[in-house]
Amino acid sequence: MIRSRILVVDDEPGIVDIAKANLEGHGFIVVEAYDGEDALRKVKEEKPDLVVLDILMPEMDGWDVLERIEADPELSGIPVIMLTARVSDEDVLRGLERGAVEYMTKPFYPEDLVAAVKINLHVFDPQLRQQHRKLLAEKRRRLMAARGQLA
Amino acid sequence: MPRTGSGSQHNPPVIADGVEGAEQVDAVLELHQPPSSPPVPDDVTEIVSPLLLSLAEVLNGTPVAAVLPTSLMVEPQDRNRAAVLCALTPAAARQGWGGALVEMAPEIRRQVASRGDAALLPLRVEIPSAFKTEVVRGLAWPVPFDGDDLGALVVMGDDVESVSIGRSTLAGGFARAISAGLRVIHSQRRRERASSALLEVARTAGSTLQLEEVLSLVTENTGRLVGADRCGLWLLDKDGVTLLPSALSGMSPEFVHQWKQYPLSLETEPLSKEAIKSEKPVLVSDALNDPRTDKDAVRFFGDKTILVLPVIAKGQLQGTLYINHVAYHHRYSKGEIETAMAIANQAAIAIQNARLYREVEEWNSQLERLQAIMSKLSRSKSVSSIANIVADELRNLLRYDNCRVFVLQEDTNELVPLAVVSSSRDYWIEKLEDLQIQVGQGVTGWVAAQGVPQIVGDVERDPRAYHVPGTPVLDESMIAAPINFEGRVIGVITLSRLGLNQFTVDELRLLDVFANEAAIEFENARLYQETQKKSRELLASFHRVGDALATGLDPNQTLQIIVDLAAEMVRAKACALMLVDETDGGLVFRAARGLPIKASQTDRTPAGRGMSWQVVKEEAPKLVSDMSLVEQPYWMQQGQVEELHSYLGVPLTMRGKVIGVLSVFGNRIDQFSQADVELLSSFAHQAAIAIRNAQLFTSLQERVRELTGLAEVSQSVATLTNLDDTYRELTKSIAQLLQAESCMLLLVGEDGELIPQYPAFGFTQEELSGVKLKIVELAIRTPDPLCPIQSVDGLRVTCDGDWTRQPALVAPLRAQDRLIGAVLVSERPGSKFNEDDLRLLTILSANAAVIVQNAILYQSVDRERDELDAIISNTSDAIIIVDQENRVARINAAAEALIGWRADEVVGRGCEETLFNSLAGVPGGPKPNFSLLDVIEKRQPTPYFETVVMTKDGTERDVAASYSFVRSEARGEGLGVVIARDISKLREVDRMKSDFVSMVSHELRTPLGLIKGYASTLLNPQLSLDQPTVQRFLLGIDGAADRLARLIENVLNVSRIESGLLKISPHQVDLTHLVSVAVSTARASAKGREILLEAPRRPVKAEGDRVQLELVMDNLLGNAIKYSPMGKSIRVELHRRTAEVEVRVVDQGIGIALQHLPRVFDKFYRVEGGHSRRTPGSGLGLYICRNIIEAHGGRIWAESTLGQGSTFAFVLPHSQGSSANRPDDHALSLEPEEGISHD
Repeated sequence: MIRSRILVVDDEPGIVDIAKANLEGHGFIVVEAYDGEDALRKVKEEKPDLVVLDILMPEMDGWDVLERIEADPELSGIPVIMLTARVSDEDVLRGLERGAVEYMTKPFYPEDLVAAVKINLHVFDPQLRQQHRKLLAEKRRRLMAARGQLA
Repeated sequence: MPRTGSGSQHNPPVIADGVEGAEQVDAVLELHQPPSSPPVPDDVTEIVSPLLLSLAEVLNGTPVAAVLPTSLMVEPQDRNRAAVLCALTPAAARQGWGGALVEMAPEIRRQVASRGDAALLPLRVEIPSAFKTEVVRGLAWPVPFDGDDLGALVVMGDDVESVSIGRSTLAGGFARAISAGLRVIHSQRRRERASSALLEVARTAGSTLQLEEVLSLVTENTGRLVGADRCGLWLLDKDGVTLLPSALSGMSPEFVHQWKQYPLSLETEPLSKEAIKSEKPVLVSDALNDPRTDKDAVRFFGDKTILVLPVIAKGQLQGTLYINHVAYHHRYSKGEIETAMAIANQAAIAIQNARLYREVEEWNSQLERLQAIMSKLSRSKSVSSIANIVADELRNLLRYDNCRVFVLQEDTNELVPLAVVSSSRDYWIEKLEDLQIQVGQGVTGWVAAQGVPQIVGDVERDPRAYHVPGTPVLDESMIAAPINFEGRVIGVITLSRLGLNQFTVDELRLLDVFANEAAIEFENARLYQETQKKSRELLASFHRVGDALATGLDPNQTLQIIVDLAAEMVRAKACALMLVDETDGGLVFRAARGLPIKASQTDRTPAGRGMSWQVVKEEAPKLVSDMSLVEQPYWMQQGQVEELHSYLGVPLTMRGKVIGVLSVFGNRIDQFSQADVELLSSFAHQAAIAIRNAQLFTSLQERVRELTGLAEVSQSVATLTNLDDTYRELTKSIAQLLQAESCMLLLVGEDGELIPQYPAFGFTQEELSGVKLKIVELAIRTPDPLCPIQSVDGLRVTCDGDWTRQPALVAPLRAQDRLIGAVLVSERPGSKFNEDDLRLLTILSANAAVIVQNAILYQSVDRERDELDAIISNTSDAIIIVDQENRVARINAAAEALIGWRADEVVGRGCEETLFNSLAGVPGGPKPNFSLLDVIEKRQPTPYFETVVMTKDGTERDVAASYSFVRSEARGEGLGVVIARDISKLREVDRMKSDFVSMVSHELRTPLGLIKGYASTLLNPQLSLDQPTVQRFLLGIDGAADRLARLIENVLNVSRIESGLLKISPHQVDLTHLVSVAVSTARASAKGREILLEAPRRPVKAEGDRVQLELVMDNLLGNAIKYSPMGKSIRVELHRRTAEVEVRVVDQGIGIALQHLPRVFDKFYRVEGGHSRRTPGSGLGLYICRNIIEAHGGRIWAESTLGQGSTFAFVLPHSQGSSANRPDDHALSLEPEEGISHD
């Protein structure tokens, strides 16, 4: 079995450490990045199977990183899970709109992160990815939009 | 009348019989007025009859009668006999008792007058039926009336012996009652007369210029007013001595016509002389025996009491007014005399006008006559006719084609053709008819110049020839002869014939003889022509004076016109008009021409000096042929004028008195002739009239000004709103109108006393302070001659304070029938106040009351408005008032500050133009729940709403506002009132708070997330973590917990700061150590950012709280790291300064924009923009730093350049307790920074 490679981006070294410990415990290879530019460079070089992305970072923040990944056809297929302390519905909606597949808020259960990574890796299996990814993203987006309106 | 002897007193039965007999016939008493009595006026009957009847009734039917005072009669002719009214039985009336009483009346009056008490008197009654005369006795009581003019109450059948005390008292009481009643009637009538007379005189004086009318008006009204039998007016003639009989009332027109034929002289009429001299009334009580009266006249008229009043207008005597009474010792009340004087004085103005009018009329008619003569003379054209006769007669002697007769005009030296006779009627002949030839010009001029006859064979070729332009060149010959008179050439006669050499010497000789014979006639004609010319000039001058009189009534202008005309009239080089100064007899220049003199008081000649003064003294013209022979005027001595050699001065005479001098100066010796003296004298007479006319006009103008002043007082003062100004203007106007020294207003105070109000005309504030006056009497008007104050409406005041100025007039101020105060006028310098003044003050005070009341009301309204104004202006809420048309009516200072527009920029402009651009919601901004413009336009009262306004410069402001619509009843319109408060700051704090909440939650979440994450990972049995990882995770938990603790500490610090509980525990702190430790700690989290430290190696001590200062360092370093990109270095500097220690944290990070710098130390303040979203931070750190540093007595600040980095620095005072280290500190500070550590 080919071990999937996960890029974990957070300016908070502790978060990267925790994610790394848990993901490696489940057999994933973890690539670390501590700011936006580092993250973008590693996405391009390493072509990870999935990105766990923080938002609040100095200089280039998580939104920029997400935008650039989605804008790059070569990279846009990589599922991005947002892991952030920003909890407002606005931000959630924004993240999903811009192409994130999952939006997780801190504090988080490391098992949840592992589960989300696994599910999304499965959902965004390279073969299925192309057909389902946007469909699903669209559904989620609608769902979140509806939720936003309800709020 | 036969006197009844005392024996009749011992005959009581006769009376008893008579009375009893009457009672037997008819006991009923009736009111009876004897036919022989003058008719008793109705008003008198009304008062007296009930009293008579009741007395008769009380006396059991005894007949009673009243003899009335004569001055109660209405018709003047009735006043010589006393009227009688009786209560008699019809029988007694038939027997003629009444007639007997009328006969007896003078005697009764005389007796009661001499006794002053009840007088016994006999009555002789003729009873026709019995053909006998009965003597009835009666007792009479005086009815006091007015001086000698008293009445009597007669009770018949009484005698001194039988009358009881009770009866006497009773009758005396009735007599007094009748007296009182009659006095009431008298005073009522007098008041009516006075008012109507005054009114009529005042009215007519203003409207008529007919002297006769004015005069008769004066005498009739005055006579009517004081009940005189006759009233005569004598006017002073121009000579100032003759009294012209001018108007007389109470006599027939035929008599008056006769009377007017006999003028009097002041010299022989001592009464008028005395009245005029003293300017006061003169009273003669017994004319027959007074040495001053004309006994013939007194006997003729039968007048016994004569009152003579001077008639004076504006200080100018007009004449005297005689008020005559047939009664002896007729009593005039003070008021009567004063009113008569007032009428006389008011009439005097009218008389003056009328006399002036008459004079001007007379003068005009004189001018007209002169003009008529002149025009008649000029129509005769005798000069030309003489010349024509000469020409005609020459034709009989000599044949000629053309004859011309010239007369020499001396002043122009020209030959003027008077006759041109030509055989041909060619067109050019006309040119010769008007041709004037200069002496010496042409042949004719040569003849005139040489005085020698000439014969010219060929006129055109003669060397002297002068060809008249426009005439043809002809072969012509001529002879010319001079007209000689007494050796002077006065003219030339020329004859010409067509053809050359047509005249013989004989013909020339004949012409010469003829010319000499005609000379006398020509000289006469010439003189006549000159006279005529001069007359024409004179007439023209008079016309000009007349024009000046009619148009220029300004005195100065008139004087200048006179001077100009006089100079032109006698061809003078200079002219001056001087008037006599009454005070010292000197002469003052009033107008001048061609002289270096100003018309002023300073240019003057003292009495006794100069030529002009001699003119005044001698009252005659003075002619000086050569001024170098006399004392020259001072202005000539000063050498300012040259070429003045001759002088002519004539007196200006007015009413026989010299008032000034009109002087002319010539530039030639002996310039002025006797004719000039006469001409200038006659001109001076007209000039004097012109001057007087102008003066009179000025005084009339003055009078008009006074009257209009009265109207203006109320107008000018009514517009004043300030109470002080009102008092000042009001008192000033009143004082000026009454010519008083001072005037004050008093207002009724709380205790009812009158309090003087300042400003008051003629008073200082000190004079008025503390003065209070009391109203002692408020009664009906009671003129009291003893009271020094003449009062209106019976208001009398006494002074309570130390106030020495004596008031002379006082009038109440009443507003809506309520006494609000009084107006007090001090004495008038020079003259006392009269009834007119009192009347004027009455009118003025009525106006003043309204004005004062209004001013007080206005002031209180004004004060209320000011208070409201102050509230609106000073309130911290913005207030915007909008009128009915949605125009801004007013904004206050707070509103100006809120919207950034000045009031004068927006007031009066429509809301949509200016204000509401800014009041409308801002696009893109937070949606206001109400648009202010909507609210205002809908006029929907809205107690509270929030909106956004944009200021003039485009900044947005959050406001909380209320809107109300106020309907103004008075103006019938409404005002919208917006009260707004700037809540931008609140909003921002609000925003910062919510930012803070989310930030804190983030800041909490991060360490919490770490703890959670580490712990969950550690607890996960599926993960087999190696020991170092476990160790690292546990440290992570520890660190995260520390962060949490720090955060909480920060929040707690804020709350301590907020509640003032931030505690500094001061100790000696070694800043070198403290900063080094902080730097070391920070390096752990710097992650690729270099941190450099520059600090002295030696300890730098400061007084402070170590823990708090560590917190400051942590915060500053944390920020520096947070905002610095990777790889950039951070430098920490510690400097020792003379008085303080400075710590600087310098980064090369993103920097802070200038506008944020001052606010970065504010609570919750975070620099806006993209960066803050990504950068964690509570916005509390710098706030806490500032508070800590300031609590240490230090300062903290930030410096920054955007994109290049920031420096945060603070200073702390030196440690106070480290005095032992000072020398070292000092030494250190001089050395370069030692021991810089570079990490």
